[in-house]
Amino acid sequence: MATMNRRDFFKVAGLAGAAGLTACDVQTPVEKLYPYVVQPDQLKPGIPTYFSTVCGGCASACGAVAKNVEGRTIFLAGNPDAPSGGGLCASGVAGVQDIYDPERVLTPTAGGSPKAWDASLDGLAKAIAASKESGKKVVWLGKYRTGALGKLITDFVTATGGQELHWEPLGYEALVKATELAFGLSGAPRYALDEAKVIVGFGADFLHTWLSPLAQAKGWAAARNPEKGGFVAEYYEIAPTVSHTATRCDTWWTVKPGAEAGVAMALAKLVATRKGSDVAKDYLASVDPAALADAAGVPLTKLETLAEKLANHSSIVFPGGPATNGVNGTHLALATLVLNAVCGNVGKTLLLTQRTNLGKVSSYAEVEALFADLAADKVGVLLIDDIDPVFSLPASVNAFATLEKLPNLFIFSNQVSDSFTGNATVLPPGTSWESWGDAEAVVGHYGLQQPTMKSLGDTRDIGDVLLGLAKTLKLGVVAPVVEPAAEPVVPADGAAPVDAAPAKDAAPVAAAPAAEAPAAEAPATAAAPLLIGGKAAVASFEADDFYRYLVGYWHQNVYSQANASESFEDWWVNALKRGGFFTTRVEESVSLLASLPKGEPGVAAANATSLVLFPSELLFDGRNANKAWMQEIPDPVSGYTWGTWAELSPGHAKKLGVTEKDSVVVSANGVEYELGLRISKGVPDGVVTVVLGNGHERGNRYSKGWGHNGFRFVKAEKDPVSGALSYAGISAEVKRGAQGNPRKSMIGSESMDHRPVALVSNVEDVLSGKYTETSSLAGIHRIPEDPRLVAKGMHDMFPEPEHPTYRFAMSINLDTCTGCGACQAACFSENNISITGPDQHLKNRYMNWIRLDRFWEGDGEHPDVRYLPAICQQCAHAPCEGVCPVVATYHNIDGLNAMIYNRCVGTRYCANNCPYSSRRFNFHTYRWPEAYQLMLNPDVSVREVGVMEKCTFCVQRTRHVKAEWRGKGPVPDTAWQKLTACAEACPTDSITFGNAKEESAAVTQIWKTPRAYTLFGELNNKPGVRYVTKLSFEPVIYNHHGGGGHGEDHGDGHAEAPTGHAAETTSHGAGAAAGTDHH
Amino acid sequence: MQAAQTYADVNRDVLRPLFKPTPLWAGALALDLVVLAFGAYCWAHQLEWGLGVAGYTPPVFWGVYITTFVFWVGIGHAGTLISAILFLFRARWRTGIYRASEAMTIFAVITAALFPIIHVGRAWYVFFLFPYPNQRELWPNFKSPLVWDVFAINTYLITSTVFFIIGLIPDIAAVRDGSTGLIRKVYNLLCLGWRGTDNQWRHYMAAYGFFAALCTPLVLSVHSVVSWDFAMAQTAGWHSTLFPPYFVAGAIFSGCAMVITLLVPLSKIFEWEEYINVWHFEHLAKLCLLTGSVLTYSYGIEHFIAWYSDNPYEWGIFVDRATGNYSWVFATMVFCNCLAPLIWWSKKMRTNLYVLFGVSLLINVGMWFERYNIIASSLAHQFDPGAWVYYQPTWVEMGILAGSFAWFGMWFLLFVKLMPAVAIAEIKEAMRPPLKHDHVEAA
Repeated sequence: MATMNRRDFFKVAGLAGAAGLTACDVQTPVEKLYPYVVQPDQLKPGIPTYFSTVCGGCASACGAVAKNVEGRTIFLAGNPDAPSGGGLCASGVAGVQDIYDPERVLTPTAGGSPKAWDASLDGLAKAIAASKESGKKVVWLGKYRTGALGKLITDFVTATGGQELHWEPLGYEALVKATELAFGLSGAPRYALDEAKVIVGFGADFLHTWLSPLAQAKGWAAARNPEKGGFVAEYYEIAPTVSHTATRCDTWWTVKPGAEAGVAMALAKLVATRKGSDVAKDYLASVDPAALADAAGVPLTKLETLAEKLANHSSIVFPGGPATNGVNGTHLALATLVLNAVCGNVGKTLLLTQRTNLGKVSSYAEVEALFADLAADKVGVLLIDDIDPVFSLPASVNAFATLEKLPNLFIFSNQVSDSFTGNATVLPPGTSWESWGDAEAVVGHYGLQQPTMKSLGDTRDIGDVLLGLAKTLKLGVVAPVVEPAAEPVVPADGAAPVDAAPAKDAAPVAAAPAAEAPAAEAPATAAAPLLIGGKAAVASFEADDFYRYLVGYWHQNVYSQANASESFEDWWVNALKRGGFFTTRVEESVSLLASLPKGEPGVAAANATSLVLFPSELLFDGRNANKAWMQEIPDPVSGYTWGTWAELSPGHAKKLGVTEKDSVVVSANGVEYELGLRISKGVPDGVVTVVLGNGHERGNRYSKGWGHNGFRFVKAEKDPVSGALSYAGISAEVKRGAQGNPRKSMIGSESMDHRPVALVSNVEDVLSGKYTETSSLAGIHRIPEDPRLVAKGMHDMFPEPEHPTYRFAMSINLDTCTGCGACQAACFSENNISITGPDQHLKNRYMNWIRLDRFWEGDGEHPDVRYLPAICQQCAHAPCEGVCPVVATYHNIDGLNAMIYNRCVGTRYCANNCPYSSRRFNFHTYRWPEAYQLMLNPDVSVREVGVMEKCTFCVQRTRHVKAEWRGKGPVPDTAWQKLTACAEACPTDSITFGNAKEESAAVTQIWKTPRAYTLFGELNNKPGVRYVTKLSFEPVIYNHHGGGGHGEDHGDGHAEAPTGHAAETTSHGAGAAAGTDHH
Repeated sequence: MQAAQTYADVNRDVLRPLFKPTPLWAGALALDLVVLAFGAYCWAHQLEWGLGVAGYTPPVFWGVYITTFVFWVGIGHAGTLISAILFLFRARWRTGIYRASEAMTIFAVITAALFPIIHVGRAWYVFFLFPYPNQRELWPNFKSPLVWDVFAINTYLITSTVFFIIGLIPDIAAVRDGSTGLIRKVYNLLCLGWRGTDNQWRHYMAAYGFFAALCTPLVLSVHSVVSWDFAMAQTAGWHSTLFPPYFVAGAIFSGCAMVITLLVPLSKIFEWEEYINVWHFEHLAKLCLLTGSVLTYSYGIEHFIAWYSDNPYEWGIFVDRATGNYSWVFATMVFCNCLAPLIWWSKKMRTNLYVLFGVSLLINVGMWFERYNIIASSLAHQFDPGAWVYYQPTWVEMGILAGSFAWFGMWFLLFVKLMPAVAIAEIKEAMRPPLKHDHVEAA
C-alpha cells in the first residue's frame, strides 16, 4: 500500500500550494510614492491653504476663497471680505469641476489634435499679420471682461485695427441701453435690496441667474429678517410666468407677454400722482394707467394698491430678465428705471455711481452683423473668448456652418464647446482658479483673482497670449513704460517651485474663512520687497507677462484710488489676502436725464401659444452643463435633472390630455423637440416655457447628450432700441408627444398634501409679537407635556442623551431660502458625494445629502412656494440608530448620528425608518472619472457599493475646529456658525450651525424664536435641526388639522384664511419647551 | 388503487414513489433547476453590479426581497402548526398531511433564510449580524429587530428541523426495511438504528411530545418577531401594535393554503387519496377561513385606527394604499385574501378539489401581495411628501423571486423521492391494530 511519508507530504503540499498561488492573481501594481526632497514653504501635508480670489463663473465676479490641499484646489467658498459677503452660488462652488473637467482641453489643439503652443501662436500671429495685409478684420468675440484683461483686450484689438465684441447669451444689452437712456451712464444699475420694503419684479431672475445673484440674494435675505430689521419686504412679481426667483414672491400678477413695460409705466404714473412728484414729468405725461393696465391684462385696482405701497415705502423695482424681455426689453428696463426714480429709489436701493460694470457690452445686432461679415469673408481672424456662439445663437445665424468655413478661427477655452469646429485652433487658458486676473464687477469694487493652484494642463492665459502676440507682431507702444521700483524676486515665468504651490509664488495665504480660527501665520516671505518684476507696462504691451501687466494695472488704476498709507507692495499683498480692493459705499447724486425717450408700452403677443425660454437655475445659459453636480442637483422647482423639459399650465395640460408621465412636442421657429413635461401653476394658459442649458452637441461627458437646445427655438427678432435678442413671446405649438417623459422629477409631491412640513407664519403676527411660543405654530411638532409630570420635575419620559460639551445643531430659515442649490453643491464638494447619473435618477437614486423639498401650496396670485432643505436631522433619539443590526450608525457624544461605513452591511433598515428620508444608499459602485479623483476631499472617506451614507454635519470640519482649539479655551460661537459646507455656501445665510449647549450661540437663540420648529418632532426624535417658518402676507390659520401625538388644544378664535390656503396645524403643549432645554 | 387495509399496504403505498424517477418527476426537476439557475444568475448579476440592478427607488429601500422573505417565513408556519400544535391537540386529521407540511415548513424557512443575504448591500459581510466572538469585541445591536430575526429564524429552523427528523425516524426505518444494498446502509444510518422496540417507542414518543411542545410557542413567536421588523419601526403604515397577531394569522393562512396547493397534486400523482383526501383539505380550508377572517378584520381595524388616530401620516398611507399608485396591489390583496376564501363557507366548494386548489393559489398570491403592499406602499409614501416615489421591481428581482420558488421546489421534489412524504408510523397508529385472526382469515 502506497503510504505517504512526511517528506513527500510536504513536497506535494508545497508544490500544490505554489501552483495554487501562481494561479491566483495576487499581483498589485507597484505604486511609488515620491516624497518631497525640499518641502515647499507654504505646504504642510494635511493642512489646507486658503487663497482669496474671484470666481470667474459669470460677470458678477463674486469673491471666493479656494481651499488648496497639497497642491490641489478642492473646495470653493465665498469670500466674506468681498462685497459679495460670503456665500457662493451653486455653479461657483462647482467651479472645481471646471478644473478637473474629465474632458478638459489641456493642450492647444488644431482640428482636434494637439498642436504645440509655439506653433499655434505662430500660426495666429501670421494669420493676424496676413489679415492686416489683406485688409480684413481681426475680430474678438468674447464674454464680458472688466479689469486688466478687459483693457488689454481692447488695446490689443485696437492695435490690430480690429473689432471687439463682448456678448453673452441672455446678456444685459437692454438694461445697459436703458441705463444709458435714463441716466447717461454706461453699465447697469446695482440693485441693493437691503432696505427695500416693497420689491417689484418684472421677470428678472434676480435671485438666481440675473446680474449679480449672490449680492442680490444677500440683500433679499436682509430685507426679509423681521427679527433684525423690523420689517419684511413684500415682493410683487408682474410677469407672464413665475420664474425661479418669483417662487419667492408674495403676489404674482400675470401679464400678457410683451406688455410688461406698460404696467411699469402705469405704475410710475400712479406713484407719481400719489407722491405729487414731478420726476420724469414728460415721460409720464401721456401715460394712461387705465388703458395700459387693461392692455396688459392687470386690473387697475391692483396696480393702485401697489402704487400706494410704493409711494409710502422704500422699494426697488427690477426690470425684465433677458429671457423674458422680448422685443420691447429696453423700454421695459427704462420704464422700471423711471419707476424707481419716481419712487425715490435712485441712490438708495438703486445705485448708479457704484453701479454694475459689465465692461463693454455688445448687442446681439452687432454679433449678427459679425456673422454676416464672416459669411462674406470680411474677417481675417476670429478670436472667440470663452463663449459658445454655436450653442447659443439662433439657428438663423447659421453659426456652425459659418465658423466651419473660417480659415482662421481661434478659440480661447478650456472646455469643449459646440463651437469647436474642425478648423478651430483651441488655445486653452487656465481656469479662473489657476490664473491671474481681476474683475471690476461693480464700479469701485476691484476683485483680485489669483491662481489657487498650478494649472493642470499646458495652458497659457489669454493675457499672456496677447502680450506675446503683441511682441511678435511688434504692436505699437501707446504710453510710457512703468519701470519697476526694484529688481524682480519672482522666478522666471512658469518656474513654480513644485506642483503644489500655485503658479508664480506670489500668491499669499488668505486668512482662513473662519476668521476667528487661530489665523495661520502669514509666511515671512509674503511681504518680500516687491512682487513686480520685469516691466509692468499697462498702457503698452511691454509687460513680460500678464501677471506683471496686472500688477502694473493695479498700481496705476487701483492703488491710486486707495489713498493707502502703505507701500504698494504691502498694499498689494493685503489686497491679495482680502481678495481685492473695495471702495466703501458713497453718497450718490445721480438723477434721471431731463429728456427721456418716449415710453413704449409694448404690444401683448397675439400668439395662441407663446413660448418663453428661461435659463436653468443651475446650468444657466448652458455654460455650467459640463459640471456634473449642476446636472445632478435637481432643478429646485421642477425637480428635473439631466435634461430639458417644457412647462405647461394645469389647464393647458388637461386640454392636451397629458400628465407629467407624458412628453410634449414643442415646435417653434421650424424647430421641433419632444420634451418631458412639467405641469406648473406658475405658467398661465397659452404659455409654454422651456428651460435652457442642455442639448450640447459637443462637450464633455456630462454636458453632451441630454435634452435639447432651447436656443434653437429663438427667432432672430431684435429689440430695435438695444439690438438685444428677443427670447420671449415666440409663437409656438404644443402637441402631445408619443414617447413619454424621458425624465422624472426628484420631487415626490407637488404640495404638502395638508401635512405640516414647511410651515408659514403671518408677517403681521410676527412683527406685532402676536406670534409667540404659545400662540403660534412653534409647538406644532412638539410633544405635549403633562402638567402633572412637569410639576414633579419630569418633562420627558425619554430625555435627551447626555451631551456633555456639544450638541451640534442647525437652524434653517425657510423664508430666506431661495432654493438656489448652493448648499447641495457645497455638500457634493466637501463630502465626496458620488455622481450617479441620469439613469439612476430615474429611480430617484440621487446621492445629494441635502434634498430640497419644494411644495407649491398656493394658487394663482399667491403661489406660496415653499422650499425645505431636508437633511439628516441628527436626532437625539434617532430612529435610524436603534434598528441598525450591526451598530453601523450610533449616537455620539456631540449629538451626531455617526456613521461607520466599514461596519455597514446595507440592510437599509435605517433609511426606511428615517421620517426625513435623508439617507442615501450606494446601489452601485459609483465611480469618478480619473480627473475627479484629484478633486476629492482627503478628510472624507469615499463610500463603496452596498453602504449607507448621509449628512454628518461635516464631522471632519467640527473635529478640525475642536482640534484647533484644544487647549485654547472654549471654541467661540463664530467658529461654528458657518462651519458646515452648506452653511458656508448659503448665499442668504439661511443656515446657522452651532452648539446648542451654549446659551449664547446664534443657533440656540434662533432655536428659541417662536418661528423655529422641529420637523416631525412629535415622533420624539428630538432633531438637531430646526426650521424657521416661511413668512406670508396672507392670513394664516394656526389651527389643529391632525397629527399623531399632537396636543389637544386647538387654536381658537382664528379666522379662516380667505384664500383657502391649506390649513396649518398646530398644537399647544402646556408651555412645551423642546429639545435640549428639557433637562 | 387498492385500499390500505394492512400495515403492509401502508408501507407499499407510501414507499411506492420512492427512488424511482418517473418522467414527470424528472421533467419537473429539470424545469425547476433551469428556473433555479436563472435565479442564481440573477443573484450573481446583483452581486457583481450591486443592489442597483433591483428596482429600489429611495426611499423605498425594501422591496421584493423582504416581501418574499416574509412570504416564505409565513409559509413556514403551517407545517409546525399542523405537526406540533395539532399533535398536542390530538387533531386526528393532521396524520396524513403533517409530514409533507413539515417538510414544506423547513424548505420554506431555508428559502426565507436566503433572502436577508440576497437583500443586504454587502452580502459578504452578512456574518456581522451574528454575535460571534471577535477580538474587537464588536457585537450586533441587540436592540435591532433584524438581530431578533436572526435569532428567531435560526431557532425556528433548528427546532423544526430536529422535530422533523425525529418524526421521520420510524419511517426511515420502514424505508430501510424495504430496501437492500447501499440504500439500506444509508437509511440504517439515518434512522439511527431504529428497531421499533417498545422501549424505543416509549422514549421516542416522549421526545416527540417534548419537541412538539417546544415548537408550539415558536409557531407564534417567529412571525411575531418578523412582524416587529415593521412594527418596531416608526414608518407610517408599519408602526402598529396589531402586527404580531395579524402576521401570525396571515402566516397560518398562507401556510395552510400552501399545504393545500402542494398536497392536492401530490395525493393525486402518488395515488394517496387514501391517506390525503378531501377530509384533510376541508379542515385546512376551515383553518384558512378562520385565519382569513382574522386577517380581514385586521385590515379593517388597521384602516379604522389610521383614521381614528387623526394622524395625517398614518391615514395618508392607508388612503394612498387604497387609492394611490399601489391600489392595484391593494385590490389584489383584498380580493385574494378577503373575498376569494369566502367561497369556502360553502361545504360543496370546500370539498371540491379544483376549488380548493384554485383558491389556495389565489391565497398564496394574495399573501405575497399583502407583504408587498405593506412594504412598498408604506415606504413610497412616507412622512415627507417631497420624497414620495413609486417603486417597481426589475427582472432581477422577479428572477430571484422565481428562483426562490424553484429552490423550494427542488427541495420538495427531492424530498418526495427520498423520504416518505406520509407518516407511515402514524397512519398505522390510526389504523385498527392487526389481530391474529386477520392473518388467519387472510390465509
